[in-house]
Amino acid sequence: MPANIRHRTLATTSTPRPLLLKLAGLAVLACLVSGCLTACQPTLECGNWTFTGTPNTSASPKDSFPLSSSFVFNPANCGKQCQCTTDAMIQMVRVYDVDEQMFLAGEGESTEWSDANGWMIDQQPLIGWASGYYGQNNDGTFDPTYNVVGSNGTPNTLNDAPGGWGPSTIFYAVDVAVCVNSDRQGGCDNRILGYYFWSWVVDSNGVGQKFIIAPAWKDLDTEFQSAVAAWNKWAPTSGPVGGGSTGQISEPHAFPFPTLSDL
Amino acid sequence: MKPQTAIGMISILACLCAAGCSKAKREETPEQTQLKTQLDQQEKQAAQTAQTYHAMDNAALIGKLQEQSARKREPFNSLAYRELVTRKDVDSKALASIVNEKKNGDAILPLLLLKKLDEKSYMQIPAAVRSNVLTDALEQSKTFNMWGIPNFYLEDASNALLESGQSAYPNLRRMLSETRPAPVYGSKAYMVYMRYQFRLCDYALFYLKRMQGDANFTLPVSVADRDALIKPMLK
Repeated sequence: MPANIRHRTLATTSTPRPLLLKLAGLAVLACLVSGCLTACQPTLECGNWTFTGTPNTSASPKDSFPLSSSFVFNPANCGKQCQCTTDAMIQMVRVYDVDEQMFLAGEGESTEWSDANGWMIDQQPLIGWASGYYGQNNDGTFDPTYNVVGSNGTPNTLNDAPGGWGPSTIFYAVDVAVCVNSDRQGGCDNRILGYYFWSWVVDSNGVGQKFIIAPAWKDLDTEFQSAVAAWNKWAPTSGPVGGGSTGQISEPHAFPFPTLSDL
Repeated sequence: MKPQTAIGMISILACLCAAGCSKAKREETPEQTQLKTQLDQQEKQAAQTAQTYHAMDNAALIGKLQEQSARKREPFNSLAYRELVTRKDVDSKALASIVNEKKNGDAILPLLLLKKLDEKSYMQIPAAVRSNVLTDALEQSKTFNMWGIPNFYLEDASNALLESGQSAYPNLRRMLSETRPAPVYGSKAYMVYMRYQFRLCDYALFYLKRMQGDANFTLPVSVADRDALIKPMLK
């Protein structure tokens, strides 16, 4: 709703009126505000996404999917201003077993940070990473094998190679670009810059099928916040992460995310 | 102004605003609509499946557990295991009876569930039976998520195997000759597997070294280096 209309509506309801009129006005106002908040906000895209990937059906197993998902931040795309010096990826995934009609996990512990709809932040504390950012080392740097970070006009690229899932599995991912560091004027630390959805299917013979890609849609941003909340609830209870042969600094527990919001 | 007139005006305003909102909303593509529907349906189906398991009695769940165990379903991907592990009244004798009867990898889930719920009853199962269930399940594994990734993390099955003692040695030594791939499915975990190219013999090497007292043993990244460690153990 345009701000001027909203102000006028608020002014109308604040003027003394008979009880019936007041109640009707408040009810309509509540509907308008809640309706517009949910219906008017498209999923944010402050830049452009490029996805590349090919199912590797010749290798064994025949469902290996080397891919990269790249985002070039351009705040003008969404009418914003922000000079982001480091933007990086957070990925949430969900894996569905069509035959058993259930969500799958790759390891026991990850079920502890999945949300009610089966989505989970794709990070591997068991392999040593304490941060929920994709490929962020425990010293704060990013491993370019997984995430080549970006900035305004420079691609932020996620590299992934999921594979090995059994027959009749559907794999979903949402990649979310987030500004990790910005200059003072921009002040856009921890702001979400864009969302992207991709998916693939392993058929009943165990062979991977083509990628399905699409800009993310409304509701997936809400789902992302739910997955972040599930991670943040679990992270302080994770126990030690890293150390040993993981190549990562030992941390007492996984790192919760700060509050993340759309730019 | 009459109340009816005011309500009418507000309704018109609501319609105008709603129209503006729908115009501002990005148009969904048919593919997006299809995916949204698919995701919604899955959530309903998954909830229904979980509810079905939740409604089962212990006997029915143990039947499901046996079936999923024979298929080498991981504990965390077995709905029967997930449900039973939350219950306080599971019959330990029934689980022990399955393990003692089968004595092979088909009993992996009842064995791991028993260990989780009733360690005392678990320890009453002869060590030779426990180790045979575990090593047979390992040898039959097609994917190795049930075991974890050596050097990085170990799942319950690996920890049980490491605790099982010398009775596991002969079967593990035999597996030192088995060079078939030992993949894990996943995202980053799969990438780790691709880097190391783990094989069944590497898992056997890892367990044997740890069980024989080298508590900090880690597998070298290079396959040749691992083979060099395996070779003297085959003699």
